[in-house]
Amino acid sequence: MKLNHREKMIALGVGLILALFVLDQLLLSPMFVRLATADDSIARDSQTLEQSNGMKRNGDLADVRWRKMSEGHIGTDASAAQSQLLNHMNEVARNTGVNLTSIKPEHGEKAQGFARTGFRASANVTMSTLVSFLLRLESPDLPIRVTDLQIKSNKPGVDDLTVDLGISTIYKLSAAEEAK
Amino acid sequence: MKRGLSNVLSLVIGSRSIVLAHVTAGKPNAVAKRVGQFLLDDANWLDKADDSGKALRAFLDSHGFDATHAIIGVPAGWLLAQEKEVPPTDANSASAILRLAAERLAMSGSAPLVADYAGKPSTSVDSKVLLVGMLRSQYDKLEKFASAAGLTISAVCPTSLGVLDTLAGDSSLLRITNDGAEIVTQDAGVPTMIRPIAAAPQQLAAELKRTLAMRPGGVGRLAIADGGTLAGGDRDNLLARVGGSPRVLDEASCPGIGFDTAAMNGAATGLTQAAALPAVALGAAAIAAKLPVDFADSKLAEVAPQRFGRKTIWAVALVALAIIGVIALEWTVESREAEAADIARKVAEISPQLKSAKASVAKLDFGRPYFAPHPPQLDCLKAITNAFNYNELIFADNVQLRDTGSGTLAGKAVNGTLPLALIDRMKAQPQLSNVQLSSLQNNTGKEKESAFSITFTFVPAPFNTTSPTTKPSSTAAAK
Repeated sequence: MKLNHREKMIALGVGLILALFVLDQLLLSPMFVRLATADDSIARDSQTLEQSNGMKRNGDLADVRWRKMSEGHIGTDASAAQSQLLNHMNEVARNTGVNLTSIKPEHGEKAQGFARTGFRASANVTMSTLVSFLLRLESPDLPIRVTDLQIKSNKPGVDDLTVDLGISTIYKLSAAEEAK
Repeated sequence: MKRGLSNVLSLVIGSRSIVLAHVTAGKPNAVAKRVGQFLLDDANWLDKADDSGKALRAFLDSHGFDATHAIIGVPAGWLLAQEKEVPPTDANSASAILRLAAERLAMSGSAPLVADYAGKPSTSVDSKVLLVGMLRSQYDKLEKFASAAGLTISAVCPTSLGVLDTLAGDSSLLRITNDGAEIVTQDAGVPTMIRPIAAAPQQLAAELKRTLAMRPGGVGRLAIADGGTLAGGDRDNLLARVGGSPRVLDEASCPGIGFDTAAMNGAATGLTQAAALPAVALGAAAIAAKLPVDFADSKLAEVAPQRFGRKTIWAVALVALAIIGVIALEWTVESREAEAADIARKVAEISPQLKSAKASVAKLDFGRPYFAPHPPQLDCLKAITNAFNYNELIFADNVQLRDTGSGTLAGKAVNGTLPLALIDRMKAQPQLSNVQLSSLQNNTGKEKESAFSITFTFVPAPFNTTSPTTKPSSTAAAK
């Protein structure tokens, strides 16, 4: 079959288009898909990596801070921690003129390898003695937290208050206690 | 003819000697730097091309010729020449026509020829060219001779044709040498004939007259290049007998060339300036790329067909470009995939450490309130106190604060608007949020007071406790 110039050009054009189509289907499109997948993966994993690095840095920093904060101040014995807290409370109350009318022990929850223990206390106070008591309650040697506080006025217009507060401390759990 | 030559050694071959001229390009004229004559002892010198070439090399070295590109002028006796008429056609077709003519010329001599033509075929009218050939075997021997002499052949041209360029106007040329004479005629600047004249000096005028008589324009202007072989009387006799307007070719009549004053130092055997003139003129024509015939670069040489057509070259270039593009794309994809794999590996490596990092942060969050410098409830009490206006008849009788931050404030006021104003002021406190009225009862009790209850959330200011020692001591706090 002999083709004239025009037919040859048409055949060449069709052949070229077919070749480009096949090239695209077999080579180019899969490559572009791979490229897009790789780009997505890079974008996603880069973000994850950045967040993970940030979390790791935070964790390291938290470790350092917690070590500095708690080193030598957190005991491992529940009764020792409780008696230490009770002694401290009584001492602060005595020093600030607060009359503790009742003290009841309380046991709190366990979390992060620690257990909470403390007391619920009631006292008759004036505003200034209450503030002194609360300010002096914090101790550099003992972790202390006021968990809740209720102040009631006994007589309207008179600085005669009844305070009810929860005070707690923490101690470190042994591995066996933590496993329970 | 190769262009760009500026320094050539011109060799005009005779039967008993080769006249040499070292010619360099100059402004405005080409200049002969050195001329000389190499004597050929053996009549068969070309058959012993190696030995002759080595002897020439020795001569060149001993006489200070240092050019390496050779322009060889061959005598008319070595040539076959025929004037040919070419129909109007382009240069390629004319070459094809003349190539066939050259083959016929070779068949008439029963030996292969190297051929070229002088003149320029016209595309519009019939034109005449001079087809010139020399034996292939002789040309090969010349090549061997030049090679043995350490020379590179740049052009091979009939001497008399090469000299034509130096002639002003439509002159014919008679060149007289020790070996005899040769004549070149030209018409409208195109050579029409080149042939040797085999005649004794006494018969030269008659033979020359006979030859020129066949020329359409008669004798016309004739230049005579005499290498000094004719005695003065013979030359005058010749000029008188030839008729027309002959003139003797000398340096003064060749404006395109000049002689360096030291050039003649190379003369070995009494070479005169007139005898050296054709060699210098040949070299000057070669430098000016005006040799009409060049067997070394013939216009009749078949142009080797291109192995690949323009379309094929374009197609190959495009395909190559496409392949390079695909390879570049694949390289990019692979590098991006490698980068992605590297990041994924780093993520996988760091993942196990995240659990302990989270635990550390949670532990710090849990334990930090136990090391606060003072109970946050104090700050909360201060914020509430700041919200009270001491000019108003309103007071609190119950405050509840939990460590989660939520709190309740209950109290009494002389009317129902004061608690609402208190709420507005509490909302203005930066550490208090979600301040809402929980209950409001007007005209309660004997005093007809309004009882209210407000809920709120206390947001303690962040503290940067890095060490328990940052806690104020009890004494300092009391102060």
